[in-house]
Amino acid sequence: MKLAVEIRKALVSPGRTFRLEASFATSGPLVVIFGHSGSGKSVTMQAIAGLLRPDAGSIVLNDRVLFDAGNGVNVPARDRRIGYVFQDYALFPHLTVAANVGFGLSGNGTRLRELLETFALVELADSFPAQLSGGQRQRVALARALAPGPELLLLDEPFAALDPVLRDRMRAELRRTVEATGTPMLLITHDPADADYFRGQMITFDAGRVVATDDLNSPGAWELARERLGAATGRL
Amino acid sequence: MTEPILTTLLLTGKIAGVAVAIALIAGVGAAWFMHRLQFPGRSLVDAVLTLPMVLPPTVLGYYLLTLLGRRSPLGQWLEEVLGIRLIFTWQGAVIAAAIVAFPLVYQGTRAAFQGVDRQLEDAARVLGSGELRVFARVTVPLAWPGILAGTMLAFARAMGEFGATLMVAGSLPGRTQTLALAIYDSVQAGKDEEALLLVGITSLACVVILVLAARLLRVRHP
Repeated sequence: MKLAVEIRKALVSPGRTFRLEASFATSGPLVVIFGHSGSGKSVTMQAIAGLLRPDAGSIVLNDRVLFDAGNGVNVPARDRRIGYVFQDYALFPHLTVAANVGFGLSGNGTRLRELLETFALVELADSFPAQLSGGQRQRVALARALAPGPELLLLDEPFAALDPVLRDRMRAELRRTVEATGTPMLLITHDPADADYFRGQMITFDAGRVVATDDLNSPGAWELARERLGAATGRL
Repeated sequence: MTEPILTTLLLTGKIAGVAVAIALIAGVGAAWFMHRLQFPGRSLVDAVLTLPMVLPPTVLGYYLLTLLGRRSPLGQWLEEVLGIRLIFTWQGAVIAAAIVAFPLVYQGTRAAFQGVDRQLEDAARVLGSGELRVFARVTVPLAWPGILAGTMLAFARAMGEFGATLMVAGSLPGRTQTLALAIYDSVQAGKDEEALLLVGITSLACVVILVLAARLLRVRHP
């Protein structure tokens, strides 16, 4: 997976203008975008998915130009083949688990059954999202996002809504899933523990800019990044 | 009133039913348009679409007479080319009722669309859905209780329409005389018992509609 992002976006709200100037390139397969809330991570992710149009710049995924302000290219979200797991999962409340997972599939019952089995959702197929626990909801959101076979999976703070015990379990489950399907993923978090667990490439955002890019797999890199994070967050 | 009450009831149901069907299609369409698009003068368009709710019905009736009457170009065209006469016909009463009922569907639907979590619509888009599918599979099903409640209020309004209908369609027993018009005639003619019966039927129908609409608005998914 190759992803090159170079975008600018000004978001104007009463009394405040937020300027995003994000620029990074990554080759996955696992990228952690780290930063405080309000640092521009979510806006960047929405721009990659096609849910928000940048003012300028370009987004290129695997040599496919998704957005290029200079040439007027803006591939609509539905054609980008990017999976998205929303922070609170955004499951369709009026549809059953099976209908949620199958929403992005075109009439292939076999694939749906496979997905429900892979994500241990067979028993829950006829339940509605409101009847599920936090962990079950996340499994539905993951299955739904992976169903159309996306080239890249985006996850917006996937563990923020879970309690700490469940969080550890879901991290492991997510890693297993992604390794099993081979889908590259890009994960947003403000929790250094996520960056530590996934140890991929880490892109750090601050005040609308990318301030650091680290490969956490190389020896000593996590310790260095951790020191910097510690200095920045005062938490680790 | 010389027509039996049943004829009046059926005619009222027919006029209000057809009028609400028109108002439903136009109202949901207009609400979607306003929900999805940003353009200059949007609030002015919104005001014009809501106008029939606040204008006196006689003003609407006057506009319709001027627009659709036999001396207007549109009225002449309708009669000569399509053979449709709207003045003093039940079809004219339908047009009048549809226009007064339209803002109730439109406003109810717009509020319901605004209540739909935008993230759910976005979720459908990233899953490969075009705008029409997002509308049909996500927006409308989630907004449905609000749309239906607005439609029921529109039906009550269409059923009770008096002023505009009287001006456009008159009050011809058995042809254009609906419940509301029949009540006026009965009272004028001193037929108090008949008036009481018609008033009772109308009140009962309106109470049923309001109770149903309130119940629909409380519906939530499990």
